[in-house]
Amino acid sequence: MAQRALTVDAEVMERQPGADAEAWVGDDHALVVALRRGDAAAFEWLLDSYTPMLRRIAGSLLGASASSSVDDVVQETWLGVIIGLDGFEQRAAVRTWVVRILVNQARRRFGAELRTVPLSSLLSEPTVDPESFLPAGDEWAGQFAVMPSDWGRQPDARLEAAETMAVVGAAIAELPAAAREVITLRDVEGFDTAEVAAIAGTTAGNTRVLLHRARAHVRRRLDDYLDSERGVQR
Amino acid sequence: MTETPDTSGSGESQHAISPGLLRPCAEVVEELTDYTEDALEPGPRHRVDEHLGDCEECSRVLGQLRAVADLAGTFGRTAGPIVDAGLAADRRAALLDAFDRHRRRDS
Repeated sequence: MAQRALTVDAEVMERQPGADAEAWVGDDHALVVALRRGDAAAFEWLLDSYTPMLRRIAGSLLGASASSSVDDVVQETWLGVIIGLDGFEQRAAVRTWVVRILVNQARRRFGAELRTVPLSSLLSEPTVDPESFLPAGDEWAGQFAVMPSDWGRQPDARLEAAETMAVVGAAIAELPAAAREVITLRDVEGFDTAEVAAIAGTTAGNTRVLLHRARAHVRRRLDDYLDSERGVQR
Repeated sequence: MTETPDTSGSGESQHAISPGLLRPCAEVVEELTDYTEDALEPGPRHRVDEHLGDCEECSRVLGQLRAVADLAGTFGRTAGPIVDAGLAADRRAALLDAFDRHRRRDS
């Protein structure tokens, strides 16, 4: 009993009076020190501020149908953070480290039941329909022969917005995991290419190749969809 | 191609090809992500700039790739698992408990 009271007093003494949780924003070092000291408030802050983002990323990586897996993956990520805290060398930002744990958890869970384009296929997929270009042998070989569609000229834009989103979502969902990771981290979460590469465990160059292929794939899906829509309108 | 190279009034020789168009569009489109990510060296970057200045088709593709990045962002932020939701209370409590127990494990 007396020992328990001592522990409670020690906690009270450790916590600065009027400590503002926001003091950890932008100060990874102080945060890690507090976490290693067992500061529950620090861990709660980290947990609550990162979890919505982690759920969002996991949702994208695992696919829409896997909503129950999302929270399992996020929970496993946090357990990985707790266990890995002592070994975290802080060469990367806390955010990079935590999201990397999440991505690795999601990779382990990624099920074969999700039908995606194989990575090898995506990498050899033409960015633009090859028939758009003038053929080899032509004086202007490789130049555009056809003007790409004007996506701005869509009738009834409001009606199509939800459908457009569905096409975008489906195109992202069918990307191979590596490409989907990159477009999620870069275009949804806004991490720069260097951080995406650190999270994914690859080079910035590879990351940009995957990003290009991912965006190109979504572009072609959207272009096909918008073309077919225009056909209907005619 | 939808443009003729010898536009009058451009200040260039009527027999000169616009320098940007010396590179095939099929090559330029492959560089557009490196271009937007600021990953091209100054020379290659300038050549893409020049090509885009002369090529409406590639400029349109660039716009579409940027639109895709925006749409992917919007989709991801609005169509995923319930936005801004945290973990269920029991999961959260289990994690706080795990944190406490792990930190105290040697004491």
